[in-house]
Amino acid sequence: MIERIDELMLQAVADTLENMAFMEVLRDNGPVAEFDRQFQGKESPGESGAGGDGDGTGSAGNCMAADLLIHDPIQGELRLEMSKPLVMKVAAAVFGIPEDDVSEQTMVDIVSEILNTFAGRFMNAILQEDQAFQLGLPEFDQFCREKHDQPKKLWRLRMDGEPLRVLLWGDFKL
Amino acid sequence: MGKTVLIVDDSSTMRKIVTRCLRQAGLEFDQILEAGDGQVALQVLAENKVDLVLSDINMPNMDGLTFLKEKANNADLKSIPVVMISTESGDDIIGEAKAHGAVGSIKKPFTPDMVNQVIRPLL
Repeated sequence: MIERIDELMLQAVADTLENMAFMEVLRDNGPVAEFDRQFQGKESPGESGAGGDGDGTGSAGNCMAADLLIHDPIQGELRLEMSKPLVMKVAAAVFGIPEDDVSEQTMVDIVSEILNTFAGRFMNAILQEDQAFQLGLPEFDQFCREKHDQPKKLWRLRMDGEPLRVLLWGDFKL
Repeated sequence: MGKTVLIVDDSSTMRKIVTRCLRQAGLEFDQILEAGDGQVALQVLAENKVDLVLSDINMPNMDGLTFLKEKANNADLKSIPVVMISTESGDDIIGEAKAHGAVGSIKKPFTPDMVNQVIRPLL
């Protein structure tokens, strides 16, 4: 079952982003530490010891994230984290505008909609055909806060060289 | 084609994608109108002659199912065809939508193929 969920999530994310932005999504096979470093420095100024980390690859506000609750028939949660440059690329592709013209609100909307769409694809894929499910509305996480609970599963992916992460919590049979 | 379509979705991204897919499928509309929720959609329908509505289900203020029910209760609006666009499937939600006047449904992600399969036959 673990292989199926892994493959089905990757397919759901890939289908969503390929249809939305005509961009290919690939699994990241590089060192985990290096991948995760690109999301560092994402604390808000209000967090203790916060501020930009200034290391060049990640800085405060380099990450954009959204969460979505899964209500039924499985209780769970999905989270999407994307690097800001990636969100800008996707937004520019979807709206057909230069990246410099992408507004903050558009970026928030894009992240939320990507999550909403692949969450639905994923649930459709893992459940019986036409089995009903219920999802909450995506909630944007302005500060890309670290979650306290270890996810059941974490996918590290890349699109156009930029990182994105998908995290899953819940009573999924892994 | 001389027709007007109304796209109802709280996501501006989704409205843009739907617009793009309609064009990629080769459908020409005189006007493509947009609404961010069911409440606004009802206002748009009251003020414009719309030939087709494409509506999300999960929206704040007024969701897609409530929008359908309100539209069905309005003699001037009830005959306008509505296709639901949603992440969710299941006979109950789609069944309820059809019971209140939806003529079809499309699962996200919205694609030109879906347009040709579900929407073109309605026009």
